[in-house]
Amino acid sequence: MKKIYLLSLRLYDSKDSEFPLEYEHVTSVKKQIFLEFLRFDAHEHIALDLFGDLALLDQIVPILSLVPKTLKIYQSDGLLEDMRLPNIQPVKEKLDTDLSSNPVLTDRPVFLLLEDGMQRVVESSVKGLVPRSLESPQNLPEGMIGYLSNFVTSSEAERAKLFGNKIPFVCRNPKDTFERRMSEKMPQGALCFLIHLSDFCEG
Amino acid sequence: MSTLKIKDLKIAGFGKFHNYRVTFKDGINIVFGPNESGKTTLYRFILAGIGGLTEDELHRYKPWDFNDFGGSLIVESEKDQEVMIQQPLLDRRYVESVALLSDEEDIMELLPTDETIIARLKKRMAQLEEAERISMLLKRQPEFEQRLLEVEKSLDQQIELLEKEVQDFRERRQWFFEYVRQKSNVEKELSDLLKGKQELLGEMENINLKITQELEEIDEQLKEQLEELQEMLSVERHLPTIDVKKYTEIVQLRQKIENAEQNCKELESKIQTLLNKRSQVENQIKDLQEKLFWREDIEKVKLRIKNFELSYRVLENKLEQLEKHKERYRSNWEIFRREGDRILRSLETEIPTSIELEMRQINNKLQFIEGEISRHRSRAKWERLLSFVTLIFSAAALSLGLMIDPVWFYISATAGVTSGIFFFLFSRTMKKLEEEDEQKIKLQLEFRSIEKKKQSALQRVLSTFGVNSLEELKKSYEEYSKWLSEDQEMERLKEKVALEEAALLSELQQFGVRDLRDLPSVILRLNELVENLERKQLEYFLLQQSVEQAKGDLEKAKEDRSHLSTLYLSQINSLGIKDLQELQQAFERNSKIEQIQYRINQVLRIQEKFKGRDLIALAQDYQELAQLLDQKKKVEKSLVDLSRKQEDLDEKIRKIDEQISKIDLSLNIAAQIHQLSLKKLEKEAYSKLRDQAKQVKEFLEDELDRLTGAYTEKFSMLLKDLFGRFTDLSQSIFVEKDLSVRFFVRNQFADITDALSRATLDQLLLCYKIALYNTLQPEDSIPLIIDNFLIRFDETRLEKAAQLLKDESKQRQVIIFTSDRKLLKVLGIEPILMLDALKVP
Repeated sequence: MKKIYLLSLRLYDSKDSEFPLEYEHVTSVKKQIFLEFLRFDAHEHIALDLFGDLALLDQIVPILSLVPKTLKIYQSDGLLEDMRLPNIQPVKEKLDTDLSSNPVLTDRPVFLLLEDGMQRVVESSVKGLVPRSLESPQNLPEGMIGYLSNFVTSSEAERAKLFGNKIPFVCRNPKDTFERRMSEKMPQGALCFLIHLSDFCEG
Repeated sequence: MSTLKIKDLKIAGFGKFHNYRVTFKDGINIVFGPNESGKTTLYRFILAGIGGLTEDELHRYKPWDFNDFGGSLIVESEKDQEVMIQQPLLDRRYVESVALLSDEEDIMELLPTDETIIARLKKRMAQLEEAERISMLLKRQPEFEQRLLEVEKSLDQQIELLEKEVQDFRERRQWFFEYVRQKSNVEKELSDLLKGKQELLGEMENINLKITQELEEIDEQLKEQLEELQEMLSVERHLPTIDVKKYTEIVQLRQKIENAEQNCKELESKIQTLLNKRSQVENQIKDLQEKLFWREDIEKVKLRIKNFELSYRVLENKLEQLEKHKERYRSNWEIFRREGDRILRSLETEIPTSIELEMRQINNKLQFIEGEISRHRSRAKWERLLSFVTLIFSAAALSLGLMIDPVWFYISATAGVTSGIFFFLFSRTMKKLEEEDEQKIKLQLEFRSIEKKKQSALQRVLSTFGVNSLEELKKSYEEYSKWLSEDQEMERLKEKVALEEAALLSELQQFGVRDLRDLPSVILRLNELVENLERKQLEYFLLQQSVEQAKGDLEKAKEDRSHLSTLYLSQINSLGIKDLQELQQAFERNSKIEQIQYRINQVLRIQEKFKGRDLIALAQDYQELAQLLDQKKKVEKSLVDLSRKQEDLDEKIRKIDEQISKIDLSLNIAAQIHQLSLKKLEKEAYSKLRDQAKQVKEFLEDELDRLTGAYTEKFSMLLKDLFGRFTDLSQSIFVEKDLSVRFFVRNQFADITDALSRATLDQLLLCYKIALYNTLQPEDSIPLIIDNFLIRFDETRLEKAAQLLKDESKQRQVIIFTSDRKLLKVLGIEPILMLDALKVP
């Protein structure tokens, strides 16, 4: 008897839309993982926390109407309780594990396979999208999205983009001798402060 | 570098100067004049031209007697230039800082140097702009930090709004799912309900089938019952029967016979009882009559007892009358009994005689003394008058003797003697009057004493009779006289009473009366006996009547019994029945036939109901059918309830749908959350940026120090060098970045005004201005103008100051306004202008 578990995928989740993630892109990635899970050859497919905290009924119903009837779902937030939905087999099956199929939580989403009492972790072919806050531009491994949460100069931002880092707050480059001289002495944060201050004084 | 020199002053009208001209030369220029000669006015005129004066200051110098006001300075810079005093050439603060020295100069000028001077100093430096920019940045940094805080606040507000929107969306979503859940539950309930309804319809069909079967069975049963009953009826109708009415009549007759027999027995028993009772009462009457002794009629006996009672009452009244008469006698009448009215008469006549005689004598004496007093008073009046008149006459005669003739002295002496005689007589009469008054009072007291004595003597006599006055005593005697007249009559009555009492006692002696006091109880007992006798006699009479009545009733009852027995026998014989048992059977048979008939009718009625399909009526006779109908009714009721519930659930679903349709989830929540996370990051970024403030400030300050440290150092060095010419204290001065000067004395900073004398302060000020000018080294050099400033310098220091000014005059023009001849001497220069205090130029 083979049982495969999808762990905390949380389709349509608020975390998916937080910077630096793109909601549509994350949803698309999650759907790919879900399809991969469904395609897995097993006697039972069990999805734990399939839907996230932004899932709406008109998003849930089309998905559930397409899934096979062997799919069993457990939502820890009680979302699907007492609801008449197609192809739903609500279960109380809960696993105590740190593993996750959610690409926002882990850079390597996995499924858990239970076969004749033996547990096996199956890695998804889809990579993660885990956001990571950085102090300076950095080349992160695949499955992670780095972003700088403080102000950096345009030239620093350009450098960060080369690493694929997301830069939300950029200030201009030093424009004159004084600023350039100061940029040699000051770290990025202080320099941005000085540039902002200069701009403020110039009105 | 160009040198600015003042060549001419052209004064049209300024203060006391009118249409006046002063020409200056290179080097040192001295304008000498005593106080109030116009030195300071000229100094102010120059200041107005190169640095400017305020409106108020200019107004002070408007001439009061000339119409023209103003003037100009001819200055030499790159070329000659005329400067109007209302349009100054330079900035006043700059001019005051480096070009002017006046005895009005405030020592506070040393603290700190004006920004424009600092700026000018900075201009001399290589990185002037940078230093300026850094200063400006440092100056506005707090403002910028405040701006950053505002941005953060604004972001906070935006975050709050976005969070609220997101929270609202979450709540709406929550509600949406809650309604969907509710709807699912209601739909499930509805589905269950429809299922239940279907089951009930099946049950209903089953019950209907059972009812049809039950009806068929009933029909069969009814037919069988009818046949059976009709057969039984035909058998019973061939035997004798008796109907209820007849049967009741005969039974009632039989009952009456039995009642009559019973009645006879009771009457016989009653008669016997009454006879016994009558015999008892008769014996009791005999006993009572024996007790009364008298064998006469009861009414006579009653009359006799009444007489005894009345006699007793009369006797009792008389005895009471006697007793009252006896009681009316009083103990104080005893003296009347012995003395009669003699005592009364003696009280009326004898008691007052001696006392009243004495009183009359005293009264006569009083009348006599009063007469004497009256007479003596009249006499004393006259004697007093005559004594007074003769005395006046004597005085008058004495006057006449003095004025007219000495003979009047003799007349005066005679009159005086006469007056003395009259006065002596008057005194004697007054003495007598006093004695008489005293005697009168004594007699009055004596009279009152005797009067009291008289009263007390009479009172003592009356008190022995228990009265207060003689009148009361008289009244008491009258009462005694009346009692005495009644007493004889009472004695006669007493004898009569004794006779009557003896007669009464002898008559009632047989009933145990020994004394008159026994009489009331004996009479009472006799009355009781008579009353009992009367009652028993009445009882006897009533018993006699009852016996007669009972005997009559017994006869009548026996007659009735005989009549009823005859009637009963005739009736049962006529029906062909021998005895009571047969009568009973015939009657039961009749009842049975009626029952069968009733049953037949019942079956026929049920058949009619069956034909009319009246199931409710049929159910009253058939329990199973009733149960089935009951079941059917319940199922119908349940179906109605379910239909109602179905409607309720449909309504619920409709309402939930309405609620769901109201919830708006169209908001692009993902975009909102993205925006929110960005705003939070932005706030964080600004916060981090603000955290850099301190570090940036430190950077900028270090940089500024690096750029501006040079001029402070140069100024400090120059100042110390110049001031060192005057005093050794120059090494204790310390110059701040803003060029303010502080003194470092005894390991601590001290206020220069406390640490230095005014003269030393003036020297420091002179050195400060020269050092500042030399540090600044302005491209357009301006003259040093000194107005009466060196007056507090001693001779040695004045020489040093003169040397300093001479040195200074090598690089710029120096103009000195002074009233000090010592300075002229020390400088050794002729003044360019000598002003006179008394003369208006």
